[in-house]
Amino acid sequence: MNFNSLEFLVLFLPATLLAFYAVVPRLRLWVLSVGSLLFYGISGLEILGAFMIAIVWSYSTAFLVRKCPRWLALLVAISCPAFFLIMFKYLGFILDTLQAGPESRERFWFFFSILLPAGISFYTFELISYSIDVSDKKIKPERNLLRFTSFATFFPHLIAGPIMRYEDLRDQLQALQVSTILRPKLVSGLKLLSIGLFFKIFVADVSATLVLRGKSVPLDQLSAADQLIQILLWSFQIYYDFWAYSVMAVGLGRLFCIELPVNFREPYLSKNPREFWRRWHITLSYWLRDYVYIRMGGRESYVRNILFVFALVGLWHGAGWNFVAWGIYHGFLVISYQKLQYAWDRLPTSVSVGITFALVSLAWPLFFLGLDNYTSYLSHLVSFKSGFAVYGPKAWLYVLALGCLTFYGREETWLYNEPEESKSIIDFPILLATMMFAGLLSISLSKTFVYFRF
Amino acid sequence: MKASERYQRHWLSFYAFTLGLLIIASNGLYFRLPDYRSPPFDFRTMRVGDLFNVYGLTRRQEGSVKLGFAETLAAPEIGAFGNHIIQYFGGDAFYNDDPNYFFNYWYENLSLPEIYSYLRHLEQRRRLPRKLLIVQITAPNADNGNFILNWGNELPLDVVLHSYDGRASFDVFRIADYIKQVVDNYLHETFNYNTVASALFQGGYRNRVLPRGSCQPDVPLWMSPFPYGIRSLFDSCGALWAAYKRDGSITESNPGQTREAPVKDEDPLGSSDRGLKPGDAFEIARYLSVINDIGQRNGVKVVFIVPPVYESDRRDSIVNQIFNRSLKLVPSNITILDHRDLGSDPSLFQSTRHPSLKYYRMVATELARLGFIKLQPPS
Repeated sequence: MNFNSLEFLVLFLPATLLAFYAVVPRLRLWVLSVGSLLFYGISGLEILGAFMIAIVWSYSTAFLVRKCPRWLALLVAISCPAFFLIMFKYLGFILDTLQAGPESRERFWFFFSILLPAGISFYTFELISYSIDVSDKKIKPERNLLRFTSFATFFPHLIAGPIMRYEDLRDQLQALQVSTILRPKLVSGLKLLSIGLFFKIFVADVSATLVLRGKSVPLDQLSAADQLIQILLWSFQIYYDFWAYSVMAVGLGRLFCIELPVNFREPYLSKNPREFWRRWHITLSYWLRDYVYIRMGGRESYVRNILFVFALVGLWHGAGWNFVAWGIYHGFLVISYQKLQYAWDRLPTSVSVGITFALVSLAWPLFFLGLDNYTSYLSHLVSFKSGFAVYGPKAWLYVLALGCLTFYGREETWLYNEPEESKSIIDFPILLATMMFAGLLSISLSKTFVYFRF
Repeated sequence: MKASERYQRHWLSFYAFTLGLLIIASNGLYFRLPDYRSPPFDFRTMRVGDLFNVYGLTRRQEGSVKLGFAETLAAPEIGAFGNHIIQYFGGDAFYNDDPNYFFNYWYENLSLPEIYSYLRHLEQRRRLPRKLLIVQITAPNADNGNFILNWGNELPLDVVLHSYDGRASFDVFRIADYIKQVVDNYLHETFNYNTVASALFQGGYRNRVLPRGSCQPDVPLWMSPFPYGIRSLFDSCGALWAAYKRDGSITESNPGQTREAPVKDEDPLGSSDRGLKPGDAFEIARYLSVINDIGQRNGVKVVFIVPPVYESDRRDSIVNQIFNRSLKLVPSNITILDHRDLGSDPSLFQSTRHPSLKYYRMVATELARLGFIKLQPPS
């Protein structure tokens, strides 16, 4: 199930909300867990089975981690979720790289034929972080399987993050089991849900449609101006797609009295590539920092560690060399910034923001094009073909409007503000209900979230 | 009561009231839409060259124009059942566009379970084609395995429910699937901008049959960013793209507009939005069998066709492999014309997923060769 589906918004969410507030406190986590498993399982019983095995495995082996030799126990603990991740997501990539023949593929038919489990990279990282935190004695193993299942399955963060750590949710889940009176933030929850849905359909998906307009024309017919606008559209598409999902996730969490971390903090306002990764997909950046980068030695062997971590970022996003290249490109950007920091930090803010945005945007087509196609795309771009073959003034105006919203709108003033104290029109319930209704009516035009496939 | 709680209560009341009102209004509009099933439109009254303009109609209404004809009037010798993939399959493939000889029953997004429902409905009404049923199966690579088994939810509920066969054996999953389809069927039609806009602005029925060439092809430029469903409402008849010919197929192209070249491999075959899973091979084979049974018990021959999609060599795709497995499970007495290997010839396509007249002439020739029909090309 997806957040931008009628089944979710019209049936699943109201029913789960009603049940959640109707039952006695000790049954609330049952409602959440069963609802979340239904939410996930509707895509297929095989992937639900794999997910449940991974949960039970991580739960059980956490006790082993405390008692047995550290590295061996940790290896055992993470082996099951990592196995599923590799087999479901990376097997094809590995066999392609090894140039394996059809007989080898036939042996793995079961894994190939199963739909890529949605959000597998997200929940695998959550389960691995739990095992490592237990191993590091940061947290105690959770004895309550229901609470642990609720952490892993809580549907607002299940498909596309944020990547949660157990200590972020433990106390909140515990409170749900005992508090007789709940004080949900329903206003901000519904506001974020309405805005997220509206932006997904009318910004991210419209941008995606415009991108396709350029893709339907042979590359040699595109002018440099067309390519430029297409790159900007890609940039806004992927940002608002993931942003909308994350905003909806935070809003949904609030409806159930769970505060999820904000995964984006206006990343396109970053003044340098390092800051970008502290604002974009924040929970992934911190996960990799804490569990990979620091453990590899951090600033010792800085270049090696950064390149490795960013190659991992790329691989996490997708099983393909284009994703690895995208990650390494960002690694080089971060290293370059480190080397040029003295001069870079002295640039005027607008210049440094512009450069960072341009450098980041230039790499987004790698998400959608293979490595070879991307190389051709860039070669054609630098040939500076003149004219406007595909995108006319309306597309430019659209991009300009999105640019204004992205670079001049401040989320703390209109999105994450306190609605009670706000006089802004965006906080009017009639407007927000109309946005939700417009989203519901137009859901047939909506596309799957880009991060859904990670 | 604290001020914050009072604020929250007021805010939620306004939100719920507004949203509720809008939803009730949209549902009310849905019920206001005219249904073209009754009285049915008789395609046989159209003259050669006439077109039935479907502009401004919702997909379900478009389908209802044909459904009304199919369930009360039609009984051609040959009937083609499928989805938009075969929309250009007309009687001209057989050199005979008389709707009494050939009628194309295509609905926008039908899958095999829905084609089965449709045929069962016609069987109950004793309105099946008399000699040959041609049933199209969406090529797996055309939509990454979608719309082979996945429902499109555009058939009216009564047609879907008539064919429910879960009562014979109690199968929880099948019952759950039916309930899901019934709910989806309703939701996708009522929560739909096209339904609301059509109900608000839809024009009359009387002027929908027009001679070809009577309309101007230009769509106002300022309308171009809007989705097709909206554009079509204001575009009085603008162009006759997607208008029905008297054999139920549609016009090859928008008169006055140049045909867009098909795009190779337009649909990616990503693993996250695949429409087939391993167990589906059995389900596909089962549907081919039960559809074939409908023909057998009514003395009508059944042929399945798998039209090609314009693509590079992607025969090893997972969805293709699952489909291959299903074909191996099908009894040998079922005829399947599998044309997936024809995907590299652009001349066989009107657009990426839609084969052209040239392809359908090939199908007709093959049917004649196999003895299903007698083909008499003009000398």
